[in-house]
Amino acid sequence: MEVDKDGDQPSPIEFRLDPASGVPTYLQLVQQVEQALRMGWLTEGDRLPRVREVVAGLAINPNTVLKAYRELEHRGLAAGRRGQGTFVRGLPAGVVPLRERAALRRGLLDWMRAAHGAGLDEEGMVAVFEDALRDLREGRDGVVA
Amino acid sequence: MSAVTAVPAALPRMGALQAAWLRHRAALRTVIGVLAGLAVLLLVSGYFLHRGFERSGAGGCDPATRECNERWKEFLRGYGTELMLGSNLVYFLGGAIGAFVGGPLLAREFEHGTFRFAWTQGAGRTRWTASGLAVTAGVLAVATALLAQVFSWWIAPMRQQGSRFAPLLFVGAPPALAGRVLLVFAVSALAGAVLRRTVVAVGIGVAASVLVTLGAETLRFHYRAPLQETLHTLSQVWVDHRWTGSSWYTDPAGNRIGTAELFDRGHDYWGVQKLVQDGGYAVHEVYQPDDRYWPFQFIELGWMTVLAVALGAVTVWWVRRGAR
Amino acid sequence: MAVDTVIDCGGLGKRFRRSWALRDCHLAVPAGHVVALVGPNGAGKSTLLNLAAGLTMPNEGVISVLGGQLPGSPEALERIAFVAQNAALYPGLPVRDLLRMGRHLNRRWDEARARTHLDGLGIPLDRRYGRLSGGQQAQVSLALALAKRPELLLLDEPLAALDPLARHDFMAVLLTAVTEDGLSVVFSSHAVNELEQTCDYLVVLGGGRVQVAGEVDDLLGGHRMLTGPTAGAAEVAARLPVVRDRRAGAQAHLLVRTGGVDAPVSDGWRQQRIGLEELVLSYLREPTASALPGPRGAVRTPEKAMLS
Repeated sequence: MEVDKDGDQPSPIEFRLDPASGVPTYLQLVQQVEQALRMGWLTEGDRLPRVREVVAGLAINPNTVLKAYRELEHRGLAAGRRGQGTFVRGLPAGVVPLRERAALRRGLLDWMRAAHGAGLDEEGMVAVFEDALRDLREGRDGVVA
Repeated sequence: MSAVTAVPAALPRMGALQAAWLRHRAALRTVIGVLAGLAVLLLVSGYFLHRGFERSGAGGCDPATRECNERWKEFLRGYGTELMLGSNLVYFLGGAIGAFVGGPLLAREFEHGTFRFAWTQGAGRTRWTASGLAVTAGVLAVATALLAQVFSWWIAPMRQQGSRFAPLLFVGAPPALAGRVLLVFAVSALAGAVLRRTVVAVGIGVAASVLVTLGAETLRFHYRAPLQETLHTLSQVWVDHRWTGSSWYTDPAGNRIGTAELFDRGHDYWGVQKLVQDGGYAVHEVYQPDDRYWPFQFIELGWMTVLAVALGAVTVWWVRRGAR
Repeated sequence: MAVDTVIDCGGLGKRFRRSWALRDCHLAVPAGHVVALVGPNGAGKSTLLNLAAGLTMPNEGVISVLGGQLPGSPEALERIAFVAQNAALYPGLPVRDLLRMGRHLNRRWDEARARTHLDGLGIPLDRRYGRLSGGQQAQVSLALALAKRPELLLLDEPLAALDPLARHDFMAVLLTAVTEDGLSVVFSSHAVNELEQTCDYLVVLGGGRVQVAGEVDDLLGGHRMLTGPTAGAAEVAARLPVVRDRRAGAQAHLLVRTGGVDAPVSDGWRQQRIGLEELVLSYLREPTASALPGPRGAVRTPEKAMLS
């Protein structure tokens, strides 16, 4: 399997899959792009791996990759250019500057300590968190991924 | 559908034949190797056989004489076993070469599941099967004919004291042996296509080899209407190598008498010979003359080949109708 | 050249001696998919593939391929490639000769593609087929099939004898070809857990009949696992098409078909989407349940799910 014939820049990221995660494959790809954006591994104008490369590397259905890329376009994170590939367009909504992020994380850690003090184990905390998250979503018109 | 490449107008010419050659090349090489080994064996033993024949002097004398007969017996004492063994092997098992090639031809495709590959190629199963039969049969016929040529040389001393039509000699000549091998090949190929078992198909072919030999022997005398002649010697046969179908005797009055009665009157062979030559007794024979030898060879090759081709057609039809 | 369906059969039946390997099979597989054919042993998977390849003839019903072609016809043979179970090929022939055979037997033949494929995997062309590893044999079979540039590729249990790495490599090449050529693929498999990533259309055969047929996304989106009080299970089961019904003393699990939306059930019930493996296994455990017709279904069997 040869790599790019076109001689253009290879994509800065490579996908991997965790079959045991239970997360649908296309969503795993979407999440990995989002993650790479958050971490700064991908910046605007970078090319995402070609469908063919992803398929050859992960042995997944090409429609899955297309679906993931469509989802990224739908979320405004990427845009397809005809015949050239899919390119990163911007940062995902919900990306916050590092300092603010650190503050939020500290707040969550405080909550966790309190929960631990109240006798909740890790799974209990996750259950409460997910429950609250659901309320939050439903309160905001219920957009389900 | 995107990328559909340009499609050439037709399949490669001879493509199926070339593919069949690739497929069967190894098996045919093995068969040719075995046949070549047999040929070498015949050449070596034939060298000594022929030298023994010359030494005995049975080759140069008049077979009707007593002395010549003694020389012949002398030769047989030294080489008779070898000659009998060789000629009987060819007589009964010569056709089996065809079974070893024909039996696996299709049966093995089923046993190994490779027919699923072969039959789903663009050329289709009909062309595939017909090509396989044609290529192997062609090579087999040529190789067999060459071996039969060597065998005919090897067995040549036997001709001295008998007719070329003698069954042991006749069936080993190139046309007759090639025809038999083709027929046996076709029988076992069909058996393999129907029964899908190599071992069974080869077994059926070997049995067919024997049956074909025996069957041909009963038919052979009737390939053309025999001639009839009245003779005044017992050993005319050996002079012109004719093939006698049946013979009877008449006394000077023209009455038909049996062999036992004739020998009563003549006491022994030489006495009877005297009666026949000088005493008015006569030998009557129905026979095929020696010059019909090659026409008979090719008649035998002909009907066996026609039958083989017909069986081949049945095999292709069987494969084509897609049973099971 | 574009066709709507790659395999289309109605009332298809195939009998071996006295038992039916396939019976009353209605199926219309749309083009442009990677179709997985799953089912227990003896469900008729191989039979269906052999019928589509034209290797056997049906005893009843009709089957056509690539939008109306008769299986086994010259036209169909040219446009379909078949990879047999255990990748059965002539063990004594070197790979090079197998490639030559393919070239001689086909009008369409992309030698360069096959060589690139095999070179890329480091498979020596002068090695006899019988001396290659199982994974390499499968790859050679695949290379021969893809060199025909087929519009439809049929594979009978291509992964059964392969180790996980070889499976991955095999599917990677196969799906890359799908990406490049847009060919349709139908393969049978036992490895249900690996299908979710590779196939986008699913056909479940059970007992010689088609139990499920549809696009994977539609199937996954169209089922919900409901978990709730056993006391209310009968009421739910009466309203919704249940695939699998398991009730314990207090708690019940109902797999229901909802057609893409959440099931209309009360708060006491928790509903979840399920994965492909669980979906397939649920149907296989309930041979009477069926989920037929997907978007373009030419299937005439009334669409309904049975209650157990």
